[in-house]
Amino acid sequence: MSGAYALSMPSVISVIDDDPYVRAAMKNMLKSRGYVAHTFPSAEEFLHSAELNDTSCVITDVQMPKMSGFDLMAEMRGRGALTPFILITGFPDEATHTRALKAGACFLPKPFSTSALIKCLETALEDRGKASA
Amino acid sequence: MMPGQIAKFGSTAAQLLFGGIAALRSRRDAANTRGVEDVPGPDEADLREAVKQWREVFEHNPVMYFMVDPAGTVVNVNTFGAAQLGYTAAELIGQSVLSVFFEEDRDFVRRCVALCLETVEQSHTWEIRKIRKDGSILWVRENAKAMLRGDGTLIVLVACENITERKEAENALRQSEAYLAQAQELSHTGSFGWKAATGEITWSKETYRIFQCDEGTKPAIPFMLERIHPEDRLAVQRTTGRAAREGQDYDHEYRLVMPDGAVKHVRAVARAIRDAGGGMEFVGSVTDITAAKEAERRFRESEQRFRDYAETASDWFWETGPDHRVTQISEHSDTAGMAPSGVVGLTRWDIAPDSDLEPEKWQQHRAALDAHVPFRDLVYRSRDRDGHPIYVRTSGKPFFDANGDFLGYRGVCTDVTAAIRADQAEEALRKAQAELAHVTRVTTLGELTASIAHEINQPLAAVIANADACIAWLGRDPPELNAARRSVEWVIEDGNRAGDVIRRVRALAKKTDIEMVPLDINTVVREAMALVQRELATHAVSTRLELSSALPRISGDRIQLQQVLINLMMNGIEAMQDVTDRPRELTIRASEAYEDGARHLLLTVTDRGVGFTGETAQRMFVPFFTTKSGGMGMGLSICRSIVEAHGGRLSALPNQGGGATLQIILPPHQEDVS
Repeated sequence: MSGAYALSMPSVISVIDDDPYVRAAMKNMLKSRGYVAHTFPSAEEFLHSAELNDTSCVITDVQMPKMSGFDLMAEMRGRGALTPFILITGFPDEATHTRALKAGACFLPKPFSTSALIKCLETALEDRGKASA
Repeated sequence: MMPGQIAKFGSTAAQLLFGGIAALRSRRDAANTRGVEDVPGPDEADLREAVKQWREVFEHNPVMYFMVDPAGTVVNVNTFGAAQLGYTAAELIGQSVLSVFFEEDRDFVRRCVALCLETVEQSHTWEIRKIRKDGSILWVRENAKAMLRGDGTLIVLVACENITERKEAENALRQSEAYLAQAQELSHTGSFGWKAATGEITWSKETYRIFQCDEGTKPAIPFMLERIHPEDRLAVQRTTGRAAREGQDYDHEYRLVMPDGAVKHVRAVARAIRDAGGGMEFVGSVTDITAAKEAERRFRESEQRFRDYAETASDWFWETGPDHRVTQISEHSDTAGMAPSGVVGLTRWDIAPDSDLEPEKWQQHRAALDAHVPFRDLVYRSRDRDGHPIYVRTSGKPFFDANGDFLGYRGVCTDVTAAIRADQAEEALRKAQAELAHVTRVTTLGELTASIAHEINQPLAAVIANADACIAWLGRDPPELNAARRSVEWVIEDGNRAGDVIRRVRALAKKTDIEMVPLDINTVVREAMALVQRELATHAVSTRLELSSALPRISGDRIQLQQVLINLMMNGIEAMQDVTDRPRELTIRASEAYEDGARHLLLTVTDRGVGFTGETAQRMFVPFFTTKSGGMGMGLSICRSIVEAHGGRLSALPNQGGGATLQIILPPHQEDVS
């Protein structure tokens, strides 16, 4: 919680999930913690959005119909964006976990505790701060 | 005295009398001419005496005398004659003689009189009816002739004899003969007489008719033999020959062959009598029994037909008495050993070992028996002759005597063991199929575990996030109560969502009896879709739902139909796993189709996957056939049996441009149809 208030500018978090309820809950939770959250039902819509470049951290579902969370991460890395990623999934298996860690992302199986997410988020924002510094 | 003699005598007397009167009259005329006092002389006195005597004879002779002039006027009638007709002589004299005849006979009378007048002095005889004054009929035999009178005029003398009695007797006889002839005709029975010694035969009219012989022909043995059927001739000759020799009555049947080839059956019965000369004579009747024989033949045929039916049926027949105890068990060779033995004297519930197990069934049955009403298809357990348990089905109807008193029941038993066993096997098979459907359903759920877990994890993740947000909103200074409340509301919604998933999964996993209820296919499709949603997402399959609210309701088991749909959708998803060159799209379409003129529901699941080959098409519904490495091969086979249990059909069609369409046709809910 401290992270959000520590910054003079609130961090912009983009949430991508094809489940509207999960999207709404994530946004609610992030807002209650003082973050600015945007939600997108698919990776494609996020890639075409105005928030793409303002985003401090991407929280995305792994399994989505067309473009998966990994696809999105690869696409953004391909474009040179180093935006930190938090990957969440309802199908947690070892392969996905390993792949996520290799890609340098935080990995959370659904359902996850809020503290775990905040921890991931704070780490990501810190790392971003370092990277941008 | 014979009628003819009377007539003759009467006629002669009349002539004499007439002659006498005429002579007397002419003499008087002569005297008048001479102017002599009319004093009778000695001759004249004799003559007068004679005339007086003859007048007596004329008046009282029991013969009716009429004297009629050529115009038909009665000139004279004797007292007897007038009295016979109920008149006095004075009433008739001067009247037309026709007045005592029937209107319709008068022409005949005129002709007779005319004939007499043409043939003077010749006698003519006829018989005719006259009407008495009281209207009754008098039959007479008339003898008449015309005579030339002294004055040259003609007069017709008629002497009549009363033959009414004879006529009545004749009529009665004729009537009696007519009755007999009619009776013979009606009963097809002719009579005959046969003098054995002379061979003389007499036949009644009906006998002629039976033998189809001209009535003018004299019946004779050779003709009869010719008519008798060649195969029966010898027997007829033997029977009649022996009867003639031994003076015995006889009674036999034989056949006649008519000129047109038709065969008649006759029965001849004769009584032997001895005539005055001591010879044998037979009097008998011959009856045409063709119709009776034909009826008998039909009856035999019918009896044989029912016997054939009965003997080819695996049934046995029983009869019970007023106390419902078995009085008779009849069976034929084919069922020997099938019907229980030693049951005579027992009631049905004594025989059946299930009478204690199913008291209600037997109570009802006994009530029906006591009410003397027919019963049908009572099935009970029994034992055959060898003691093996069998199932028996029986039906029976009560029978009564002429007074309507109950005598017992008659009926048929059938061994239905095989049918019952088949029913039991079918029931067992149905159960096994339901078990298998359940197993495959659970297996499918196993395959769906990851999807299901995901479906539950999604709302759980939302619940946690929203609950946490709620705490955070409350922790603000001042607390953001509205946001906190909204968060809690979302928690509830998410919790319900998770609960829904669990319910659907449990419904599929539950082992329930098949429950056929009216269903809206749209709901069934949507619920099934929800369970495979994640599979679709995971395999990057997009779906197209083409539903309609205007579809006929169907009658079915929700869970089983969902199982079918999930199975078909999973197959479609799997078939598109390796597809990269085209969109992975699964289309579920519900529409209506007409089959045999009736509205049906058509449900299709179309994929754009690998499709199937002709060989696969042949075998894809066969149990344990699979193209999947890890598949059991029961899916489509179970699907087909489920659909067929719903009165529908499941078939697979290849798509143009790849992929397969699985098609389900289901009949509409019956109540909606009517």
